[in-house]
Amino acid sequence: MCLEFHMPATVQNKPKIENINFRVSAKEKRLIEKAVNISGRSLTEFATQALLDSANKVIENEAATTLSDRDRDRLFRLLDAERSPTRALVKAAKIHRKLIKE
Amino acid sequence: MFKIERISEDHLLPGFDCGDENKNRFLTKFALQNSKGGFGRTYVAVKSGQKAVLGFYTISSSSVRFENIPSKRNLPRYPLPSILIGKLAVDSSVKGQGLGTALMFDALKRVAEISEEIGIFLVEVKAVDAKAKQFYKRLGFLEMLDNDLKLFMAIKTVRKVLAQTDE
Repeated sequence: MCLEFHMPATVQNKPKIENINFRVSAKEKRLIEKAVNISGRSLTEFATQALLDSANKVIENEAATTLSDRDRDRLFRLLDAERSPTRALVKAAKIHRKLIKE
Repeated sequence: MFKIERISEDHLLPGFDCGDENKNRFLTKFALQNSKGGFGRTYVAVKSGQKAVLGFYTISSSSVRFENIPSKRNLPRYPLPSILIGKLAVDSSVKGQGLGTALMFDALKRVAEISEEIGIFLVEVKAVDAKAKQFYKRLGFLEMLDNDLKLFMAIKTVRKVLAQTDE
């Protein structure tokens, strides 16, 4: 089965519209359609929003990490602790020397 | 023995199989293009004198920000510069030999070298599953409580291990 939709237009500057077209299993399509019906939106709106949300999340996570307060404090505690390398890290250095030709 | 080289057209990419379709696809379709475009550098492991890629890692610059800046005065209030070791994979044919560990260390060593030239405070890794997370934790990466994906190590820890092991 095929799902087909195009990216939404904004009226002001009329961006070029392009198609995204991909295949899903009949089962997957039924599940998606069920969610689309519940959401009360069109398949195009639903899929575009879902993909944009997901794309933004991936890009945001790749380029920068934003830490919560408790993770921020956890990280600073680590930096204060002047931790010595773990045994596994020291061993990794040895494995590197053994396996990798400089 | 393996050699680590920056990815180029000379390397043989098709056929690489680490068991993870996403990483296979990344290497064969996007790694070279991303490397050329400056989005992320991929370094590959090959056997000396051969072209077939048996493992790889990708590094790019990143930063760590805070939802809220710390209230304590002596803590930095600006985003922390970091390097992301974004992808690490080993071909199934050479699994179990320690190449993944060696590649990880190679990446850390490279980051330490880069940190002599530009400001880098942290190294980040992405754990795609529980096994990867365990691997990184053993090496000393700190896991977060509210971020399932990223783990961190201070660059000074990397410098310390390099000094200790004379690398």
